[in-house]
Amino acid sequence: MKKILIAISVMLFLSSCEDEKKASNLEVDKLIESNKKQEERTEKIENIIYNIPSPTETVSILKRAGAKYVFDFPNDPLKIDNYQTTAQKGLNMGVYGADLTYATVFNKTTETSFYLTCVTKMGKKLNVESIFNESVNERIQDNVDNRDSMQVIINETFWELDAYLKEQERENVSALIIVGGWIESLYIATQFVKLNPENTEMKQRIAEQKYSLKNLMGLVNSSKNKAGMEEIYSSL
Amino acid sequence: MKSIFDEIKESKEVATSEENADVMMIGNKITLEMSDELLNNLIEKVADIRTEIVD
Repeated sequence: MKKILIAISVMLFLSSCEDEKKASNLEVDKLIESNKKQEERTEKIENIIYNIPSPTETVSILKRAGAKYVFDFPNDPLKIDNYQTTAQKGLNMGVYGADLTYATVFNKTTETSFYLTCVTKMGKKLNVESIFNESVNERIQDNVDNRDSMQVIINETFWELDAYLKEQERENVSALIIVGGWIESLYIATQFVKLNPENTEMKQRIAEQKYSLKNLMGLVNSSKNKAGMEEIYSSL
Repeated sequence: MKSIFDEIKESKEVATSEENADVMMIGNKITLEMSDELLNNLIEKVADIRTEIVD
């Protein structure tokens, strides 16, 4: 009887080990799948970043083409308090970031200051104030007359923001910011072309956005179930 | 509802058949010239999406 009980105990123990092993394998599979999805998303973002001209690049083309700063193109800074949902806040963080670049490239110090305030305020709303902090503000204010340094600071800060959001597993917010910035710079470019239809360089750049759009839709699709993304996907 | 991408693709196909658009392969870079109609359509669509975002 004792031997039977020992045998049953051993069998139960082995069976439990097997279950644990299966559960453990399942966890590993989930982890591999999760890492695979993350890698795919990273690849999509890299494709988008590779293909999408940054707001700096787009507005630099405008500047080279002899364009003047048009005050009606950027978003109204006073609208910032209207944005309450995650989708609104993320998208308009991207919009104001592109507007900040637009003002910077064209040396509009007053507008730069307005859009810097917007980006900082939106950073607080999105709980990323550790990125858009006093130190960044001071660096920008100190370099307000140095366009190149300001562009470097702005670009670096948005890269840090993207890394921070990924670390916090808030990739959907990061995707919203990319979409917002892309749409705003494309909007500024298309409005410029509307006024200057003879500018072939900008027309060419706009035509290339077809490929960026395809990648962007992929990115939004991968974050589709998260806050705000479903709506964005349908509008794209 | 058609996406901008679908519309660009369709317009591009029509434009190519009507010889209004020109696609050239330069190395691995694709250069696409847009017809005015397609460009105007895109300008309008981008403005609509942008309005949805900011308003």
